[in-house]
Amino acid sequence: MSTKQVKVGEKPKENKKNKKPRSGKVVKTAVLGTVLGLSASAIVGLSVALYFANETVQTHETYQRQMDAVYSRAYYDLLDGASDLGVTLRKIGVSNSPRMQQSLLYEVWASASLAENSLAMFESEDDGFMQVQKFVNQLGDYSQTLARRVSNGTPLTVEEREKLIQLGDMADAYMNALQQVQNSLDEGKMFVGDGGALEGFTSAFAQFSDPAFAYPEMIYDGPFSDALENREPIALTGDEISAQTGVEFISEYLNGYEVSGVEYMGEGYGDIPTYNYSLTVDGADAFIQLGKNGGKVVSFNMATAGDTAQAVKQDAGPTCQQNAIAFAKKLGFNNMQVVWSSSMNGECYINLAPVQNGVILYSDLVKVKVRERDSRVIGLDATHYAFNHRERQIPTPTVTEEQAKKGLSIEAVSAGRLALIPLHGAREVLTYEFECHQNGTYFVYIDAQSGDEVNILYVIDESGMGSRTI
Amino acid sequence: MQLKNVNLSMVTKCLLVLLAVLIFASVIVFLPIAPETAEAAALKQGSSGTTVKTMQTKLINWGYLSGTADGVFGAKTKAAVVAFQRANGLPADGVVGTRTAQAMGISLTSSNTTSSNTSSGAALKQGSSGATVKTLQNKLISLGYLKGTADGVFGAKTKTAVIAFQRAKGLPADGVVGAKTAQALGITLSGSSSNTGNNSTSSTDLNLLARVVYGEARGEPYTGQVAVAAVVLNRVKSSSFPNSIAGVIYQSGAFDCVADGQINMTPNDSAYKAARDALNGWDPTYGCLFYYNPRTATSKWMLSRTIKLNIGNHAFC
Repeated sequence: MSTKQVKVGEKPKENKKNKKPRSGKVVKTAVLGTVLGLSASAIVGLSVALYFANETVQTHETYQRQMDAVYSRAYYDLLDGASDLGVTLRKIGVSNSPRMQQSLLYEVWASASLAENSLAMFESEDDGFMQVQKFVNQLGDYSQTLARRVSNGTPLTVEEREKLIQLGDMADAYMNALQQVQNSLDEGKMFVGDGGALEGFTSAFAQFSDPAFAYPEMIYDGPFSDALENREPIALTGDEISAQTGVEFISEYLNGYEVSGVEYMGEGYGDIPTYNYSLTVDGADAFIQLGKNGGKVVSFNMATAGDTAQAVKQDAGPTCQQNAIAFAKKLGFNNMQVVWSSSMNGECYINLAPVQNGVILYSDLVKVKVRERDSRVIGLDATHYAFNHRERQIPTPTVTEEQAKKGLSIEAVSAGRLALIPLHGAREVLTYEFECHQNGTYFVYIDAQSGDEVNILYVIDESGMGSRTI
Repeated sequence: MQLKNVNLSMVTKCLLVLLAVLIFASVIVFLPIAPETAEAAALKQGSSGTTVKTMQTKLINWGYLSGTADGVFGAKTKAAVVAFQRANGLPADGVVGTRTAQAMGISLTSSNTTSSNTSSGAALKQGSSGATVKTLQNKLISLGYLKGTADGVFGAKTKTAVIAFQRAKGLPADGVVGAKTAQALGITLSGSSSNTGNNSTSSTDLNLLARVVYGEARGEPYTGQVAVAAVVLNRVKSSSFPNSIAGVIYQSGAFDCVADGQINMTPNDSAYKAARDALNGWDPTYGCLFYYNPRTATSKWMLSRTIKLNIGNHAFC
């Protein structure tokens, strides 16, 4: 067995010995050729790769530097605006000249406006940082309101001066927080990139979210006044209903619609406590929210995407408005009058306002959405109504309509109608509303007490956009 | 046998190593090339405008291209660009990226019109290109006014077809597809200033809002889309956030769709409607300033906030 193996194995061995050098040479040359060829191409490939990699890195670095410049600019603008804020506020607190107070207040307003814009550059979702934004927004708003008032001849009160001095201390704390960032920038840090100053930027304002941090409340006639932050749905009175009762209410409210698959989706714990339901109305997905107290509809909306492009009936307008009022009435919104409607893409938004003793209550709007194709109501929103509606103490106008009309610079095309309108969101004024035409339509509001012009709305009418006011 | 084995495995090893190096190298080489061609500023087939014209004039002067410069990057221009690239040792892909442009001595500034720019213009005319032109051509082909295939470039043939269509429909036969012709054709001119479909509006705020809705909540129930738009508007009203719609939307880290670029997608009808509802006062959240997807959210700070309402996949707070 073993000899056989040797014998058998000998021949190939000889063969191999003979062939080996030749085949070895071929293999070697081939290997050498391949190795050389491949390494050459690898070197070329690698250098090309390196060239491009380098270019990518350079582009990346350029972008990074550009971003850094944007952040740096925003930051230094902040620092600039903040540097004298505390001092200016304290100066107003001790100044006795209305003219000086006014110019300083406008200075604060300008600095705060600059800061608002620069702050918006930075990450938003941090409690302390949000507080700082609120502080800056309110400060600008507050000082502007005060400056206007001083220029109208009403001097600052003692409380207001004290508040301004307090706000000066807040401004110092804000400046200190900003300077913390400065320290890390002085160490040569950039804003962007790993471990950049941006990462710790918002946390520098952490103290502002501390409940113990003395934060003066600013209540005034302005959109950011604290008076507007905590709203309550005063119009939603009545006993708390159950979610099941809500379902019954819905079938009553939507009587005349094809309603199916009403599903309770839980409560809403927003500023208006609601029960939420999803349902199918006339084959479309819909969502309805009922006030937990009393079960009134606060919001109803149908998803009608894609089905409104059809031709619109010519006489859609009046029918839409009638249907809107009828629908609102069925839902318990009484004495409503159409105050505005705008139509676009086959849908009409109709604003209804309640009328009390002939006076339109503009703060209590109920908005109704109507599909023009068949004049069917496809949505309703009563948020404004829920927050504002109540029996008003309406003052008697001391200015007559005729006198008010004289205050207009362009001729009115309508009779004046009495309207209670919100001013800066916080206060209501009784006014005469006049529709005027001069290269477009304006609505001018004249104070029924003082005869002052308090608001002007201009109607923008664009094809395809519907009309709206600004 | 053993020796041969060694040799073979050495060869294999060498080959494998080199192959790996080559693959690695080519991956690196092609990675940076990709962004160059994908760059918005690059000129490619379908582009048009003054920069294309400048480039064509140069190519004609250098003998790569014959004929006249018409400002439309068609197949002939592409072939000329490829020839130019070959002659200059550039990647011959027919796309004029930054390097090719540099070699040609032209600048790819915003003045050039790539397909996306043209299609956002109000009307389509000779020289226009892009997806809308393609749609237009397909329509014309199906109606029998145009022969051949839709290439997305509005040339003389397309113009003739448009004129024929306009004559047939009693429209002013100017060869320009404006709102009326588009309507008659049943196509939508995309972009902000054009107008036929439901999405048309000239309000920047509405457009921005619709884009956020689409980028953030396009898979959500309709009310969920309205709610997302309402959160943006609630932030504008809140003193703790910037005071304009753009300020709120583009605040750093505020919306994912800004970070990942989905805000630049074209919103659908539903997103526009939701945005319009919110602008008209609908707010199913009644004052919420935040929302997140509880299944994917990781921010502890966000998760610690009291949820006021759930709609679809979003928790609003």
